[in-house]
Amino acid sequence: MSEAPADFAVVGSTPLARLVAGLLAGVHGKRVIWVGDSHAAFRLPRGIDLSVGPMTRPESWALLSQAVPETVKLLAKAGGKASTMRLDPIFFADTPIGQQAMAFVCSSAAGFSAAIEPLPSEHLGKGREGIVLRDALYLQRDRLEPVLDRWLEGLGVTRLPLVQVRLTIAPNGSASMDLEGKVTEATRAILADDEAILGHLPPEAVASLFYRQAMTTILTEPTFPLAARVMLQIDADLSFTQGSHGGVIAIGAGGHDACVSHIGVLLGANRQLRQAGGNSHDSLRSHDGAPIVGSINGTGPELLAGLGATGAFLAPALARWFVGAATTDELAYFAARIPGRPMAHSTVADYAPHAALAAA
Amino acid sequence: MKGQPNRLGIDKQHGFHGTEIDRSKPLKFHLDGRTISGFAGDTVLSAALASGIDMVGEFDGQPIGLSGRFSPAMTQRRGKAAQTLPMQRTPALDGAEFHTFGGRLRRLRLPAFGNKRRSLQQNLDRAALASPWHDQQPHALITTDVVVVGGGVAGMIAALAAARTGASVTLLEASPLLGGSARYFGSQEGDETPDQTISQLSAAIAVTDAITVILRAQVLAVHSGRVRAHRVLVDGTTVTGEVIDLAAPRIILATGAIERLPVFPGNRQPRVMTTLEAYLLAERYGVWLGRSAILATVHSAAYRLPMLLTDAGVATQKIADSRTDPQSRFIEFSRAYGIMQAGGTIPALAAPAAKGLGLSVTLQLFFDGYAAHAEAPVPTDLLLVCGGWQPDLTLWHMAGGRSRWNAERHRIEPIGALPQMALAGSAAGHFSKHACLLSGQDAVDKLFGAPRTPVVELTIDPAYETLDAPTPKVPRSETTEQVSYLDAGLNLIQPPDPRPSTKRPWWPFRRPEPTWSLADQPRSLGIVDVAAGVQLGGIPVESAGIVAQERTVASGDLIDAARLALLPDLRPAPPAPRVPAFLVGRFGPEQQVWMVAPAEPRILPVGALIFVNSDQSDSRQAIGAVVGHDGDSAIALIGKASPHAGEGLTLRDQGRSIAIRLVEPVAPPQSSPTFSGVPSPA
Repeated sequence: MSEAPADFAVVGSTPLARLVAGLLAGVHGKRVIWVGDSHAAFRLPRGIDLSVGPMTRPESWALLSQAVPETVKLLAKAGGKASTMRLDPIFFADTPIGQQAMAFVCSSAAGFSAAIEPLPSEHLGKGREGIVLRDALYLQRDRLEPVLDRWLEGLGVTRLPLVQVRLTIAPNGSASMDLEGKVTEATRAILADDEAILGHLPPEAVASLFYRQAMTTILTEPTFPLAARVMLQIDADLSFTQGSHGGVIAIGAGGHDACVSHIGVLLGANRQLRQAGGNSHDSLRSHDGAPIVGSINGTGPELLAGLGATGAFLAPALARWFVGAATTDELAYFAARIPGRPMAHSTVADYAPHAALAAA
Repeated sequence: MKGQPNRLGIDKQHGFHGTEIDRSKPLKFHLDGRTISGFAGDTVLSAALASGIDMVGEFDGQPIGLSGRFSPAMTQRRGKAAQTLPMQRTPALDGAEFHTFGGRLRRLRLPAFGNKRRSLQQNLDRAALASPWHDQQPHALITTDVVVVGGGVAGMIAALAAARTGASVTLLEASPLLGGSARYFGSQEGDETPDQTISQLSAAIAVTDAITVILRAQVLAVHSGRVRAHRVLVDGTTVTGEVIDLAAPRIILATGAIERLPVFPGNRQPRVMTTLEAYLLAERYGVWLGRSAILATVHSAAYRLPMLLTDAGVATQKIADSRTDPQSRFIEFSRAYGIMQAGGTIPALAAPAAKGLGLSVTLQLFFDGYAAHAEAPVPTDLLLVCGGWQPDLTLWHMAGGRSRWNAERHRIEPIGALPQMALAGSAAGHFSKHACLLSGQDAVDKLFGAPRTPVVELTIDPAYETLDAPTPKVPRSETTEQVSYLDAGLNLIQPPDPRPSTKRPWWPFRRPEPTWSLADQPRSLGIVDVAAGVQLGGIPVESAGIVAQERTVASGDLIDAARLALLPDLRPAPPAPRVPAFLVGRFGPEQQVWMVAPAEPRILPVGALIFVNSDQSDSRQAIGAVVGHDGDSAIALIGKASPHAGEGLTLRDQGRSIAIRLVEPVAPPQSSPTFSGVPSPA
């Protein structure tokens, strides 16, 4: 007798994918298969997880302000408190377009427990504007990953390694996973990160929904301390994270040479920067800069994309949305951001660095 | 030899007199003020080792041995970073003054004793060993048709084959002579000896005008059509280093293979040495540390070394082989020499001997992947180790090449192809000299579009020549201070500490769960680090190639790379649009652009939200926002129904309410704001 299909197959290796899988199983009592890999300890990251982001819409900040405390409690319960870090990231912009967007980040966040302070220009350099966001939460992926893996195991989530499994997604959104001849099935598939979407959504669907942005990650050898452990340059969609050993991980839009050029210009004025690692990958962005959440036309796999650095902190709200238990505000937020919404005159548009870069 | 305790004598017939040195021309130079004796033909490293310096310094409280892969940079004059030189590629010159460069301990002018006499006293905790030439600007650009990287037999034959096509060829070799490591591996029955092959190829290259050989040149980076190298030049009594760029449409990488270091506590102690390095020091410079040795190997060719040593008067106490019942003609020969052999045995610990400069080595039985009974520690002068061979794919990865783990061979191997670039020899994964020679020719065939040369390995049936075993690995023990490292190179990366915390999970001072994050290691990794990481289970087999590609990168100055890659766009940034794309539809479908004015003179900041009245503060209730300025006036986007001039509204700036009024509507932009520059969605 074949095993009954699971309720969900969550595909993806990010903290967001893990948290959604665990919440669906642990809080909502669903049978969940998590299809993902654990590689934060040895691969260079392709993104960061931060409880604040360059969001220009108040409803995004409102949703985040509700979800962050819930996620913090969840992480503590899962044993991941030591994998999180409180810090004061700096966002900065060099171009008028980026500075305009940053002004809207500040005004939209006002009133949603985000303490934002402008930085004096002499702290960042001539012509540059910046803000510091107090008491944000940063997830240390390499430490958090094993913690969440144990948590998922404790919740009875079946784990399948993405790199080894043959995953087939049917047009109705169900998933079939073949691992060395053993086939398991799930009623609904959630493609929870860019790698999962690029690997398992038809290319024409990817092309119609997303702008495919070439990205580069650079790891540097130890260098002088940055102004903050995490910094985000809004114009070039470039994040800098300085690790405990002093090395900086820069993740930015563009190919290797373009990204190296940006990093060199931004950080290299008075310091020597030596490369210790690097990779190139693709990232998916919506055309209007807003997240894409849900299935195409109500069928097919559920997609989670364009959530940026804050995605992991929205996991509780997303899990409720997937099981039909979302609050009114959550429902309104996610329903307005489904795939296939009108993009050219989007009513949920947010700052899109790729659009700003292209315009420049 | 006075002042050279580690130089082999020449009173007997043996193969380790030193092919590169002229014993009739003794010399002396100073290294950090210490007098070093040597011979013409020595490198600074070989002379230092011959003179009894076998330790770089201490790291994490443990001494770290000096070797060709781990030696500090130095200058010929103190403090000139631009003239830094590598010890292993710099010739020893009579009367020269060299100074190590980097995190050296502050030294008192007192006589050194104990470990200090044998040490370069680098403070490795304070600063990792650096290769400053990675950051130097290129001194010259050389244009050539073909660059061959690596002067072993595969690189030599590739250079000759490329020259036969009429191309100009530049052959780069890191060591002071051509030939590579072929002599170490010996020959197979019916095959010509490595000496014969190298002599013939060297003679042919010498008379081929189209080939330029640059010795003592280490390649730092390979990019499409460009090679960057650092070479050492000698002019009389002055040695200089310079970085050169070579532009070439075709590049052949014959970079050989790196000998793996077995992973066991104490594996970077002074006098733990990989067999190839020990062989080359003895063969080229007549240098050998001590008069007794233990060999621990997974590879049959290493058995040749004890036989050659016996002739030179060095006693091999035991050969430990992790293979249970290895078969090889070399093993039979060494048995005939009366050398004790122990199958299924691995090194478990190397610690400093209680007396003298030697080691106390503990061997351990090892069956089917499980370590068993540890033998009693044995004193010895030198522990020779061979953990197998890893093709050196560093430059291949740097150029964008891919690779994957070969579970049968326990190594990372190249896959796929790169345009205008080819691998040859051991770097391409070949084993025998025969195959390496064919692959050198084949690399040229590939790059020039000629019919390919089939590459055939001359292999011996495994029944007679047992395959290499995996690199041995012994976990860290609670009872020893010694630590283990993944590789013998510049990185000092330790394997994960498997010891779990003994405290309960809630205990506040509990040791964190063991984690091992290579991602957090802010140094580029060696390919052997990655291979060891795979064998230790820290890197899944499927990810080996990706990690190798991500982390075995050129460790150069990013700022310089930025200058080389793309100059920053110096065009003035475009002005912000009046209505940015992210505000399209933000305040409803009827939003209009208005000029607004404050009730009291002040600047209305961009981004400030506008509300119907001062009671509102939730940014979701905003009906508009300031989007820019036109002279002294503020421009706002207003989404209110039926707005009219003079209408009063409230603006919020940093929590304060500011009364404003609508002045007049502003003509909309020529085109509706949209996501310009981004491909239109379907």
